[in-house]
Amino acid sequence: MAAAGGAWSWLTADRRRGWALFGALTAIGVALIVIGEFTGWDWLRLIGIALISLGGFGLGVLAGFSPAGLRGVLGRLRAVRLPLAVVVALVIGLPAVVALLGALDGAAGRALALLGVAIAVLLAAAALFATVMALRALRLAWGGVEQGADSSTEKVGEGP
Amino acid sequence: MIPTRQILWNIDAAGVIALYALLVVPIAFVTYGLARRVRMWRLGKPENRFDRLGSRIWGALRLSIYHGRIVRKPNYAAGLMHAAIFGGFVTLFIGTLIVLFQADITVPYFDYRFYHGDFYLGYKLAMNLAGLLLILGVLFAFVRRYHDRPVWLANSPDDVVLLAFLLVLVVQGFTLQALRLAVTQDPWGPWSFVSYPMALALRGLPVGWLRGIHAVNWWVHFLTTYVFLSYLVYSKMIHVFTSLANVTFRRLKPLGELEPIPNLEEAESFGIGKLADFTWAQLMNADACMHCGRCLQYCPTFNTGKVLRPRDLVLEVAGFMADSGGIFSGELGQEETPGRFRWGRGPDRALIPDVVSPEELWECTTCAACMQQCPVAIEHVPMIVGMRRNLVLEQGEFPPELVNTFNNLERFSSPYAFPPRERDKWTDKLEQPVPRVAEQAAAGQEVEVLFFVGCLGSFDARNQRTTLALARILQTAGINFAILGKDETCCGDPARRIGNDYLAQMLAQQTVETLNEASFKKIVTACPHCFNALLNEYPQIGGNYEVIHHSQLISQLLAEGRLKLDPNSAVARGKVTYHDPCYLGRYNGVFEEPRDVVEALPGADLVEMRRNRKTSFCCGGGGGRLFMEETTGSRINQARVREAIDTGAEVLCAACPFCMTMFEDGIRGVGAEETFQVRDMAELVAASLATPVAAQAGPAAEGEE
Repeated sequence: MAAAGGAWSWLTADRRRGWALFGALTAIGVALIVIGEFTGWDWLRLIGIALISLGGFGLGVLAGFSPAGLRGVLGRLRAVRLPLAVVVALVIGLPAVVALLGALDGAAGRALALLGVAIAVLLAAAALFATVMALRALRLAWGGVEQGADSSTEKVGEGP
Repeated sequence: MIPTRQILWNIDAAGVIALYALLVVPIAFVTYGLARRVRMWRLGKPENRFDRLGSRIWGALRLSIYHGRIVRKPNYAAGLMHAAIFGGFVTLFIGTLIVLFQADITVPYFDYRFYHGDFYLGYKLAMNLAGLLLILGVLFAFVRRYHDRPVWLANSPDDVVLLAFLLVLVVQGFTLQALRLAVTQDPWGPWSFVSYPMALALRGLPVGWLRGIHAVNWWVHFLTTYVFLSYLVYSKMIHVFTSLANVTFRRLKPLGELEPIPNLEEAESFGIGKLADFTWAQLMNADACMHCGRCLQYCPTFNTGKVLRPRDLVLEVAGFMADSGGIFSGELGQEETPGRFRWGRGPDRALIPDVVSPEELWECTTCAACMQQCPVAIEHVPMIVGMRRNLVLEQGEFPPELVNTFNNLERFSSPYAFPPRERDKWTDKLEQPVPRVAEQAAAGQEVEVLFFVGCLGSFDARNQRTTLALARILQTAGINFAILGKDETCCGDPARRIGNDYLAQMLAQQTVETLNEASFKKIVTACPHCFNALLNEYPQIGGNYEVIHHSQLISQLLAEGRLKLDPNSAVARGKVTYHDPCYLGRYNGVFEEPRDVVEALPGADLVEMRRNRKTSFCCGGGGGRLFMEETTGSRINQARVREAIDTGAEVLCAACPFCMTMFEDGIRGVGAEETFQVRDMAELVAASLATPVAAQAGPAAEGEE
């Protein structure tokens, strides 16, 4: 415990040390994954995952406990959040929808395939619905709601 | 042929490398978000929440696995919805880990494979069931939010985005499975009962197209998972971490025990006036809220259209914390941050009145319906009382009508302007004398039961009738009892709940000194507020007593046959409804004894109000509200009286002088004086006694001695 505390103090005394250390761990981890993949040494993968996880954890904690946090990174993300969110919403939903609509090809098949078509259509509809709802929510969040307003709870009188 | 499948089928080296290398992104994002929050919680005052770790962990497991605080009255459907989403998500997550466990650990290191045969088939079945469960849960959630939305549930964009994420993730998973099965045509495909029919439908398509679209979907699926995980702690999904932490580090003390301000004489600040005045656990509380709104379901202020909504108050504090250097520090905090309430108004605000308004704070009746209902054990009442303390003791700001209450408490040790010598004047109306503890001690007589009358029972004309009735019952049953008389002082409950802890501590100390000098076996009181203070808060200052409420004592006396009721009594014939006082029921778990008493009344037919027991509805008088004006929304006491009248009863049985006062006023308010009455259970029992007091009391009392 004391050793961990000491190591943490050493890292946070000069945060550049921490960034360098955890950044290096991540980079080594990625390198091991790459080597493992091309050499067939699958055992390297676990070590790579461990280093990448440790690196990510350390970077997150280091940034999280710094006074300024990730002000710059989050600021840049924030500046592009609306287009980013719309693109993400579309990208994550559409490939599945396209694949599922491909199942319509089986509509002329046997009964179980017809069931498959029905399931695919339902899932595609659900994914489309979810995407539309998410886009609507994003529009409301960044376009249609007055700052700080509680968008959808109305005052009620006598209770339920 | 052994049933199994190739892990990472159809995925090239670039995909595998990306899958593992990009892991750093969600891990760093999640850790950053959590660290940012922990950093803020550490700004709070220290508080030991690390005792009884076994109970704490057990409570957290009960919450997460058993869903005990989530699936319960009246939220069975919503609770099951959550259980479906939670169960589906966790099962799929564990399923993914199992696959990786073989691929990255058991095969490379031990050349051991378990992902085949019966295990594999069972796994496929379980994963399909889990996915289906998750989809059904999410669809139910959408319907609940957009079709049958309860009034206490608020929709934020964050809620919708999260549900969409979950739904799309599962659809992606099923799609991937169907595409693979369409190509590999596994003979054990039917075990994947959702994907298999889709695979049959897809089989007619060219294999190249199927492989191509599978690869695209795989990339999108894993990137979606990483984006979702990265978003997790910046959304209300943070509750997967914070609710567990909050339940683990919850208060294990009695619900009715408020912490006193320590070292009051030397304190430099009082109560909660800024973020750093909260304890770390209270700051964590704020971040644990997931906006479910259950705290509002039985909240008297929300249900009567007042400003205070416990959920919003907690979220306001959470938002202020985020603005003040939590997740979105500095300039980013100046901007609006949608998804939660009232975020982004910047850190340059005073906690009171800019973040939380005094109006909200003064509206609270401290009934604890919010705390009782909260699935993640958020402690609203201590926060509210803490902020009231700051208003009263540091800022000197409180509703003007409390000036008299404070003056009276200081001068007369009672909220009423009666001198202490008049405290036992009610005894003049009794047929038999009531001994005083001091007199008994002087005479060398032992006292079995100390009757702690309370201020309302002593001075308020309406509640004196309850006091007289209880005294008659005690005399009839031959109980050896005595009162403190003029030595009795206010227990301190109203002052403590109002936030004047200085006065509360003074009164409590005074009472404890008196009680510790007296000799008795147990205390009985007709006031749940005194009951709670004596039972739960006096041990803080060395007052450890056996305390019972008069409903418990009467129930016991009836059960033992020491009280006989006249079967022809017409006092409570017909329907009688019982109101659970918050400080008796919800705070101290006394629900059944009062009902036993009502059921024992000759000819009485106990009918329950819709909101009863733990989910009872406050009378509006707790938390010092009895001494304040109610100017916003509709009146709480009238709402409860209407609910009582709706049962068809003609008598509302009360067991608390605060409730009695509120209901008498409420009955007048709804114009039902002619047809409906409120009576304390002691009054009903005393009026139904079979034998006159004088005839029974003499020999029985002698027998006791």
